[in-house]
Amino acid sequence: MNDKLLKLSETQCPVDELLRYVRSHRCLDCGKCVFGYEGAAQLELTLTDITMKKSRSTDLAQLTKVCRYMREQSLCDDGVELGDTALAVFEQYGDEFAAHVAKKGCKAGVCKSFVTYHILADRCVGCGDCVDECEDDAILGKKKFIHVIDQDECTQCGKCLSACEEDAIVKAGAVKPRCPAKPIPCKR
Amino acid sequence: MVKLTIDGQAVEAREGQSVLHAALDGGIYIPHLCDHPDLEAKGGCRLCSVTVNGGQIPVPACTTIVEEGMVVDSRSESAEAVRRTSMELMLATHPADCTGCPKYGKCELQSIYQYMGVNGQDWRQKSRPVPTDEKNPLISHLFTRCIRCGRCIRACQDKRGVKVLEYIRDSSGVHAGVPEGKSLADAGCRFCGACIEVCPTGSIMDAVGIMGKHQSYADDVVPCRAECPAHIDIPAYIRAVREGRPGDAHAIIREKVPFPLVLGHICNHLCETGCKRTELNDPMGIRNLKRFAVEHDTEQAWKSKGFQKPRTDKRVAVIGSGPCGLTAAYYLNKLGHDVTVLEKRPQLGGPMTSGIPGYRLPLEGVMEEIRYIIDSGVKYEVNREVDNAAALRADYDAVLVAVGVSKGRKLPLPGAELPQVHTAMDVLADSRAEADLSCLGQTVCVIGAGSVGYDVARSLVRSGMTVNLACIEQADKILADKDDQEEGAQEGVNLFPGRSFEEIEAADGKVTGLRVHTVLSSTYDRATGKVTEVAEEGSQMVIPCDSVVFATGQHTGLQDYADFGIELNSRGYPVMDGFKTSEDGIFAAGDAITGISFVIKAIQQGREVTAEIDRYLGGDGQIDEALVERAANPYIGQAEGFAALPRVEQELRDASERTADNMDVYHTYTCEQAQCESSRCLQCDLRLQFQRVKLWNEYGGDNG
Ligand SMILES: Cc1cc2nc3c(=O)[nH]c(=O)nc-3n(C[C@H](O)[C@H](O)[C@H](O)COP(=O)(O)OP(=O)(O)OC[C@H]3O[C@@H](n4cnc5c(N)ncnc54)[C@H](O)[C@@H]3O)c2cc1C
Ligand code: SF4
Ligand code: SF4
Ligand code: SF4
Ligand code: SF4
Ligand code: SF4
Ligand code: FES
Repeated sequence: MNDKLLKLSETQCPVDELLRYVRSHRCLDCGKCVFGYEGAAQLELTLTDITMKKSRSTDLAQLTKVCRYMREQSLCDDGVELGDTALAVFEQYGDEFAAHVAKKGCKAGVCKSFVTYHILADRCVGCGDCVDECEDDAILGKKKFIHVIDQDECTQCGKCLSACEEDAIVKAGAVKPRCPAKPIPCKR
Repeated sequence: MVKLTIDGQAVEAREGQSVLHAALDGGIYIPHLCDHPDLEAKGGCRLCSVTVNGGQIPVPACTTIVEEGMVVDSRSESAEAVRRTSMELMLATHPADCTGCPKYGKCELQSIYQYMGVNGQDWRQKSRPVPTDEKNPLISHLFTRCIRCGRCIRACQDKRGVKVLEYIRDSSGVHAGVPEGKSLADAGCRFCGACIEVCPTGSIMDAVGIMGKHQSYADDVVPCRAECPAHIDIPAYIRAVREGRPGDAHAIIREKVPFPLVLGHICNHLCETGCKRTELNDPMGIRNLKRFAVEHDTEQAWKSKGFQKPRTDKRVAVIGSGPCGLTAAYYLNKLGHDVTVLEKRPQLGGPMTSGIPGYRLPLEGVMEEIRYIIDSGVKYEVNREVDNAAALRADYDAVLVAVGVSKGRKLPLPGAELPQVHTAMDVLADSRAEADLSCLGQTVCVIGAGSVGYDVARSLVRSGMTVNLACIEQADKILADKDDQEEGAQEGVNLFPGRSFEEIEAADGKVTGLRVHTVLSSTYDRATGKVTEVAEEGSQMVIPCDSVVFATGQHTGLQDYADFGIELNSRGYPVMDGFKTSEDGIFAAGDAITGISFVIKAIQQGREVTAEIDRYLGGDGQIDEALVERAANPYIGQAEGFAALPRVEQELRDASERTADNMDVYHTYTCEQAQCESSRCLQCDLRLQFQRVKLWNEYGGDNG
């Protein structure tokens, strides 16, 4: 069992960390047994969907089922270990998994699909640099106005973040900053 | 024996046997996919899950060894759950639709999931597309359908020792394949087909167009043997040659034909047309290896093997001593009947001794094979022309008409009746008998450039004559095979292709020349026998000559007799019903019913008519015999550059040297050459050693 996955920091998302672990796991390069290889493949596919806000309500039950079989029926210890590790991670970080599956958010702010970008009203100088950078035309506002990100258009690419010299643009996980709904004239 | 209980049924198993095979042998079906009866069990798929002795955790039956008193349950809830989940997981990443798959209906995976009634819909579905590879000869790779059971890999590595296939990881995932993207040839594949044979899905298949050409699966797999009219076990005799056992090779050939040496020289080798090696480069030298085997068999061990049935009181007359008649006589005698061969010529053998020239077929070799038949107890009368087959029935219980097509035919040209105009059959017979040919003069025109025409032309060149060979076919449509044409040209045969014949010119009753003109094209209508031609204007010429030989076809000659005693058709062939003529007890076979054919065909006809006559006389018609035990080592190992190994040809003697005598124009293979050539064989028969995996519906009981 991989103990590191049970000692995650605040900035690490357990779903994302488990997915990374699965992606680099030997079972996906091996293929010699169904439960090891196809189990790892289901973990990879399902966890990817979960991090991308595309989970199904049955996902956790199905993953628990397949991991138990991996632990019991894999051909070698590698598959047993992967099933074991995944089950331990599910148990330890059950709330985090549940939050992802319920599409409530990623506490660590790692899973891109759950992250939102915001422009802080007290920092924006209305220069418009961010607008030029956004390829999806998701940033509203003209010169000398506090700019606002249209969350429906935003694809979470993060390019605007570095375009702003005032550090007015921030990422947010579960807790979102308060921002104006529409551009309003700059106070600064 | 180990006694155990599987699904409530008492089963006896061999010591060391797996639970899976104990069940299957006992008629109890347990699904299984990665297991193959001839390969080491790995336990990867878990479809064979069972619980043992009331335990809760299922184990794979294929890797669990039977124990005395064991109680096995393949239907327990936990075993079924593992099995279902495994199948669901496999299907989740397998192409969804079987209907476009070449393995449809023969696929083990398809059969099992239909039996289990599961699908992969509860899981994330994903395809793992791998480009289909049809660039390899003989084998198609469609690894999108690979389920990673590893059977092909185990077959190639452990059974064959070739080690070409591996698990491959690429962007689509893991599947079986050839490492480093190499072609099969470059990777050292020996094209044995083991991987095709064991793949349970449609991932490794015979290339498109390879299968479905013959009557049975085995025939498709071993086409050389299927296409040999006598079905000689070709891969087995090639193997014997390679392993330095020419005597065994000879025996294997002898199982089907009494004229191995003749065939080794002059067979038209239909087998080579079917040979799968052709897909890599050139076909195997099957005929040449036959000759080598016979010539190097010093022990003749086959002579003491084979059947000889007790004597019956039945008498059979065989009219004609060609390959068909002598083959029938040989086997009828072995079946215990009293056989007499009646031959109109002074010697036995038909064209083998009085047609085919010595530079293609040495007389001593033929005589030895004929002598063996006679020494085995066949009686014969030569210079005995039969003019009524029915009359023989007074003395014989059965009569076989095997008279071939021994009468040459002349074209109805003005001058054809002149004394210096002959048929190829007569000239070849005289030439073979080393009779005086001076009546032909110094310059001869041969009409007809089929293989018989070339036989006459090249024989007469060897008698020191100038030979002009003329035919109506254009140069690129000549009927004789390429070797004949090339070697004939080298030996000095003058070819006049695309000529139509007007008249044989003569002065004082002696031939002086053949008048011809050039044709630009000609068509022959088989139905009417009429030739339509487009002549070139002003192309008339006379080819000067002292004599003319017609090599323009033969006929049975039966219509020349007042009453041969059986019904004949308008072309002089017996009216047939299978091998039966119009008269009870009179049979016919060989060229006499098929028209001019080939020695191997005539031999096969001889075998088949033997069975028919034997049954007519009250026997069972069984003439199959095994003259040597078969043992083929499937572990063929690696062979450097195998795919590109070039065909070894027999060495052709120099044209000047070979026209100075009438000896064989080819040297037989040296031992080294035979070794090289036999090593090229793909051993297509080996894959038939694999047991076929039975599908669930082939097991008895209530498995449905
Ligand atoms: C010149 C020549 C070259 C050939 N070259 C080849 C070759 O390279 N490869 C190949 O595979 N095949 C070759 N063939 C064909 C092959 O020889 C025949 O297909 C084969 O011999 C047919 O066998 P059969 O027993 O049916 O008839 P045949 O071999 O023709 O035997 C018939 C026998 O019956 C005898 N006979 C006929 N009438 C009577 C009668 N009324 N009473 C008693 N006896 C009679 C004839 O004398 C003859 O001996 C060649 C044929 C010829 C003529
Ligand atoms: S469990 Fe072992 S055998 Fe199975 S896929 Fe993983 S590494 Fe391969
Ligand atoms: S390999 Fe078998 S299961 Fe797969 S598509 Fe072909 S027939 Fe269907
Ligand atoms: S050597 Fe035989 S088993 Fe191996 S890849 Fe070639 S054909 Fe398949
Ligand atoms: S190619 Fe066929 S035999 Fe080989 S691993 Fe794949 S499914 Fe099994
Ligand atoms: S390779 Fe060998 S076994 Fe295969 S068809 Fe040719 S001769 Fe026969
Ligand atoms: S057949 Fe037993 S595990 Fe695959």
